[in-house]
Amino acid sequence: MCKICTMHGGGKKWFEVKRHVEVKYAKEMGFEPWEKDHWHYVHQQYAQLAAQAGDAMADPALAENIRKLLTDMIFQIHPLTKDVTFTFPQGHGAQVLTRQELEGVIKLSGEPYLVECLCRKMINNASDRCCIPLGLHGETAEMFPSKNEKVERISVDEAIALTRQFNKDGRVHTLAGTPLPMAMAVCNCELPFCIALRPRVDMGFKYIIRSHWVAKVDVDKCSGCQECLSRCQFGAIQFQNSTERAIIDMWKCYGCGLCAETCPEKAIELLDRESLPALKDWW
Amino acid sequence: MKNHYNIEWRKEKCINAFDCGKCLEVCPEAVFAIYAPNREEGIPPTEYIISPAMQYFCNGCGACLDVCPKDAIKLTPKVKAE
Repeated sequence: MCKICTMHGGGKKWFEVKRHVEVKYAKEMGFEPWEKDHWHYVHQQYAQLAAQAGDAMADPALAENIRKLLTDMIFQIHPLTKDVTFTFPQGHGAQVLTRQELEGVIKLSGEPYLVECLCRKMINNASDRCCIPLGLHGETAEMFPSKNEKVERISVDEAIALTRQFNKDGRVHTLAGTPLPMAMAVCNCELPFCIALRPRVDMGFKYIIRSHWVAKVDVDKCSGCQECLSRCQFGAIQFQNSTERAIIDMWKCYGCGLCAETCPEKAIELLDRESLPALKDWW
Repeated sequence: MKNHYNIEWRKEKCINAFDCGKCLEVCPEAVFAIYAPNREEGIPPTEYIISPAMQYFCNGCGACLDVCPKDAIKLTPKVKAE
């Protein structure tokens, strides 16, 4: 069980619990997004925090403390009531998901929207419609930087077709929660233009935790076609020249399943993280 | 962690950061981030700032210097104490 499932799942995975993706439940609990332009707020915080953290992160001991502090803030149990004000990054976490899991979440929610990716706009000045907010967050998502961008309501089938397309393009799927048990948005990320994956992979801030799966190559089936190499955004796959096989560093693997989807020989399988004693607590 | 360069974005030289954004597009390490510093709820922001948020990943390639029409970015190597 990952941290989020232990805290909120009640025996299931946290994104499989229907009330975590329902607008009705969120409203019953009195939960409201921070404010109308909370996306905007998150980005302001990100830019300012990152700028200030610069010198501090260069010092290893200090960096370790900052990491721990932030991780504790993110994964604390947050009371879902509007009387309690909370600030970023308190309770704002995410998890890497496989495409199949993601389709389950979209179906469960039934209310996908489509907006421009805020990270890419902010970091790369690119207009990229790849962000799929769910339910309540879709209703209230006011865009950053809000110019002509419109929030578009799409059907479940459209959303699933889109995630398949993104999967083909090699995007990593993540599900963000704000605050944590409430599923906020399905992100289709690409390093380094992601304000959640970047601090995680390059700086060790655990905003995003690894998925419930780990990829493993079946060496007998692998034909050495190297299709999977460019798909891995985390540098976990290497090609061994001597044996002409791909090998996966399971410690680096985030379990996004992109390599397994593209493999023509079906040589990569996803193992349950729970079944591997060494990686059981490696999120 | 790298942290080899200091990046300075000069506000007075940069005009219309939001519509230009060329430095954001070219940076291979995604160092820059654009955001509105003075934010009010419900009102679209008018002023934007470009912050070298991830400047400790800067590899000193100088792509942003070449592309900036107003010469608003200054790149200086950090002198490390041996």
